[in-house]
Amino acid sequence: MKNIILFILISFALQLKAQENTGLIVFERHTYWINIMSKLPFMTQEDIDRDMLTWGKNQGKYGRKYELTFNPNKSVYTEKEEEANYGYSWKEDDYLLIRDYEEKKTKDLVTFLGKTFLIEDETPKYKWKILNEIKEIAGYLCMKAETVDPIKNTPVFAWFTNKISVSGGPEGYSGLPGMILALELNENDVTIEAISVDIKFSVDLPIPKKMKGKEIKRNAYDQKVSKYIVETIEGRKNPYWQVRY
Amino acid sequence: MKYLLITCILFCTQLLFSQTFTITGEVKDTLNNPLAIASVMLLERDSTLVDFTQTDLGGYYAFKKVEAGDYLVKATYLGYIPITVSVSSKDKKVELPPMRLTEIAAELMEVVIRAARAPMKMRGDTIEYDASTFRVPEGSTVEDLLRRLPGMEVAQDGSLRSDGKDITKVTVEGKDFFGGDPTTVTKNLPAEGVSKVQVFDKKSETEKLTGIKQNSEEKEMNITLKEEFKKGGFGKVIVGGGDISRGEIKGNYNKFNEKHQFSLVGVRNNTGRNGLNWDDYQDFMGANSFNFGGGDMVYGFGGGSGFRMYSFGGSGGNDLETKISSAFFGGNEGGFPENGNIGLNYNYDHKKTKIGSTYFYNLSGTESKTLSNSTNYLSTFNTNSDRQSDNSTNFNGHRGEVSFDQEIDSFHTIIISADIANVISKTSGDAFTQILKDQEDLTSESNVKNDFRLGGNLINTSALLRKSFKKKGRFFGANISYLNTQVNEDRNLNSKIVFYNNAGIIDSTQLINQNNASKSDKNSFGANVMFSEPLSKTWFVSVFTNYSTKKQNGDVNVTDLIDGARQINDLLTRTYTTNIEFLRSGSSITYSNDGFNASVGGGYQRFNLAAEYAAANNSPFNGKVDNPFDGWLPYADISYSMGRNGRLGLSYYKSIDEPKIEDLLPIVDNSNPLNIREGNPNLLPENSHNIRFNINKSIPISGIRIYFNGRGTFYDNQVIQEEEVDANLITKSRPINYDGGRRLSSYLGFSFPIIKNKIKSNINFNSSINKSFAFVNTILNETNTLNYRPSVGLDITPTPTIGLYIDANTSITNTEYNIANSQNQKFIQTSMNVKFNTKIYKGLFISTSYNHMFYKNDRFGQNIDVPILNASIYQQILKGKRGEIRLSIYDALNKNIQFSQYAGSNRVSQTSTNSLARYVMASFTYNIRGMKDGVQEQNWW
Repeated sequence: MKNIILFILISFALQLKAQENTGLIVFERHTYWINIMSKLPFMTQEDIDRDMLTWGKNQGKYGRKYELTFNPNKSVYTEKEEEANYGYSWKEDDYLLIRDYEEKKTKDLVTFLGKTFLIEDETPKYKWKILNEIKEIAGYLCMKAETVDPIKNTPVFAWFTNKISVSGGPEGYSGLPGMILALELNENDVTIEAISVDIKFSVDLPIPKKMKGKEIKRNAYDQKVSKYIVETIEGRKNPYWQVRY
Repeated sequence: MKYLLITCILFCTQLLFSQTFTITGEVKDTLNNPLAIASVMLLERDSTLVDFTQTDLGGYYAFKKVEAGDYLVKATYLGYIPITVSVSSKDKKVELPPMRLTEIAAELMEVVIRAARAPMKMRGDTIEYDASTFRVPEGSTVEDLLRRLPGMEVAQDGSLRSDGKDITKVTVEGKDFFGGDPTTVTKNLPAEGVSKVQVFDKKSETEKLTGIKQNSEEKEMNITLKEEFKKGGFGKVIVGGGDISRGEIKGNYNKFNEKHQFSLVGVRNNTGRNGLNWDDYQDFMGANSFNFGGGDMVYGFGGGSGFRMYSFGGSGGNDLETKISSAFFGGNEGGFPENGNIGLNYNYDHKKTKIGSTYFYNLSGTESKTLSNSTNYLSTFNTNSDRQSDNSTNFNGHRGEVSFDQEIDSFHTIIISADIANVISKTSGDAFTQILKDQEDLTSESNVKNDFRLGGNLINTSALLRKSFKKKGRFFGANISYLNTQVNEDRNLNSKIVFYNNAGIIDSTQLINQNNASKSDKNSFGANVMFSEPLSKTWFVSVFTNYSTKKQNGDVNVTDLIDGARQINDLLTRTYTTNIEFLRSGSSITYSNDGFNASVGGGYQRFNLAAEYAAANNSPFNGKVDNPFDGWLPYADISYSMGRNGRLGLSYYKSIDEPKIEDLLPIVDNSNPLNIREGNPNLLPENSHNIRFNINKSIPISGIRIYFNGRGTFYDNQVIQEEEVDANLITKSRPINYDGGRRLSSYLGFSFPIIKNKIKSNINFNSSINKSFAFVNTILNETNTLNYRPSVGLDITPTPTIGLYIDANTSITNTEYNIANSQNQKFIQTSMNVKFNTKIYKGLFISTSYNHMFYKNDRFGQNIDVPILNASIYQQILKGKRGEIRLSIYDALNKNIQFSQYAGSNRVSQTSTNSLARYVMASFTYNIRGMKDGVQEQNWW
């Protein structure tokens, strides 16, 4: 009996060691504007080459940092506050995504075209395909999976690790057998990759006390965004100056 | 019946139950040890994830309540190659045989995953990884790269082995390369071009036929190339010829890859269009397009810290101290122009080093005939002058610019730049002028011929250091610059002026036959330093200091040709040295948080204007200038972001600007003997107080944009003209300082769609109110000018093949004179533009533009209108729309004339220049990238 208890205790401890499910991940998000613009239907090869020549070398050079704070039940994803703003400050868009893995609920505070929306809904279901590719990200061996962006209908690649057993990820993506540590949106238009993973015993989820925004359902919000993107492209403009890619 | 129903229910339940089943199995390693906490996924046949679980301590897993169907079960474990097996629902319970995972070779894990951080792809027997992430020294071949890849052996003779098996064939992009001899490829191809290396078992002929996998002792390798290495160059050539001897030729070629950018541009035309536009500029300069300005930036208030300011060179390309960029943005100034350019650019950008180098040659010339008439208001009478002139200009310039940008480490960057230039310009003019008093009494008639030649050399160098610190927001910048210019000027002036007395009889005749040879040598040195420090997350303080000294030495040698002999003109000959020293130091404190930014600061500025000048023979003209001038510079700036798409800003700053050297020195410019100008040694720097306000807001969802800018400048010590008109109506002017001048202007814009993406309209309103002064024969003239300019525009794009752009604006200028209010002017200038582009049929396009200008001034009974119609029809030809044949008519109505009017301090003038009018041109374009297919203009908002 004693041995059994010891065995259980040891295996429990092993389980704890192997199962990382609480902590803080810092992601860096890079936007490759030339890649994005190259795919807009009104751009000619000449325009694309010119932009590539002028800006190509610098695209995606500077990333923005995001933090995902998670425990087995919930996660919060939002932009990391900069230590200094170099003496000029712009008004930033709201972007805070809360995922409740137990209740399968989401609560997002996002700005779209200058207006803040509060999206409270069920967790969206992504259809994931598991691919045969592995890569190391921030010290974790990850596997590749693919889904489709629900608004833009473009491919999204995710790299997830089953070492972190929380089925979450950045930018609201979830549903894989482990934590997503990197995303590639539409080939290389935008990349989000973990630069540090800090596993803790417990975390304080940075959920704001007040979340003010126009309440909307995810479907209605997605339709709004999709409509703007279609109309803007029809007007021969890049919609992603205004809409988060 | 009852039984049947029960049977049916039972059957249905049975069916319902049988629809879900259970899958169990175990995961082990190759030594048969169970793998605990391995991830097991249940996938559909197309790899779509259905469910996932983990193995328990015994390596067992189970999927329950699985719906009937065909599935894949995939087991993965850290450091092991995943295994996938297929499963179908036959029984309620499916027990799969144990899956045995193979460990990924330690070497592969170490080298590919850990060291190169490359993704590894498993494709059956192939393991593929991204070779581009493997570091090899520059200039390495594929062989050198292969030596670094795990599992690869390269023998002395270049033969390859992978995992102990010979590689007998190497393909590039799946194609045989030099007969497939592996060593030819690996020894010749540069490693930098390689993106992926794939090694797989060679398939035997039977395997190819039957598809049954056989164990192979030979391997094959395929090399995938990087995108950039596949890219060729791009370029364009346009050749056109027209009537009245018009022709154009233009070509550009670019080649670029990861590190190098090379471009070439050449233009020769006599069409009056510069031939170079923004796109050509960007194609030419490439990654260096927005990098000029080099390292000699003058730090000041509000420059932020890490931000780099971008600015373009002046608009004219013919100054010595200009940048190559300005050659691309020149306008047409009328007349009959000739233009030629050749440019070469090479940029290098790799790792932490950037080099930009540009050479540009520009040749241009214009022949023009100008008619102008002007009226000057004096206290008791007016003078009217009618002038006809024939001018020709000729310009030749070579320029070279090099910049070197090196990131020393993540905290330090240096930028070193050097420009050199050599220019020669020639201008000649022949003007006939009649001056009348009060529009009736002829006072003088003159014939003035000027031949002017300028030759100049320039060297401009600068070095800049940018330093950032571990503490975010702390920044230090320092730069020094040196500029040297040498200018030689030579002017031959030949004039004959006949003066008439009140009775209209010749009173006297003045003949000038003069040569003015002058030399100037300018050396300027500048140094700038700035430091900014964050006091907290929201408070910043910054300090800056600027120092510069501009020394100029010059000789002006004027000789008169009298009775065939050259004689030195003592009145006009001078030697001079000037030194303008400038020192400015200031500090500002900034609060910035959540879209709100406010800064206040102050500085102190000191100018020392020193000069010495001497005439030829120790005449009384010798003198000295020693004017120190200093003053405080207050500064304030507030800006507020109204959400992401709106901003409000208000700022005030004072600036103190040095006088131009030619305004400071008492050197006489008599190139127009009826209007003689001279500098003023007592001139002080001009002070201006500037206030700016702007607000803009856009509503992207409805496509509305509203913006307003207002600015005001109030002058102290403004540099104005003091004129003296003598009995012969010869005007002598010199600059003096005067307080009270001001300029106020505002701009209001509103754009909105009428039908989304089909009709867009914009309405603008500009206005300005200026007050300026001039002294004429010791009497102060005050001139007030009010200008307003409403404009409307419509962009109509109903279908993708139609682009119609209409705009109209009218500019109304009221000028009021305090001493001659009967002369108050009102002139109206109206412009109407229509542009229409359409695609008629496959590859056949029409493009037309119509511009109608109206110039109206009731006081002169003037009513001029200039309609210009251009039209062209073009057909795209060749594969990939690479060619275009175009037939164009420019100025179809044959009405082109360049007209301008001016009303300022005590003067009104109008100038018209005859210009290149109607011509027809046929042209052919070949574009490697293919011609543009659309007819609508690009808009970036």
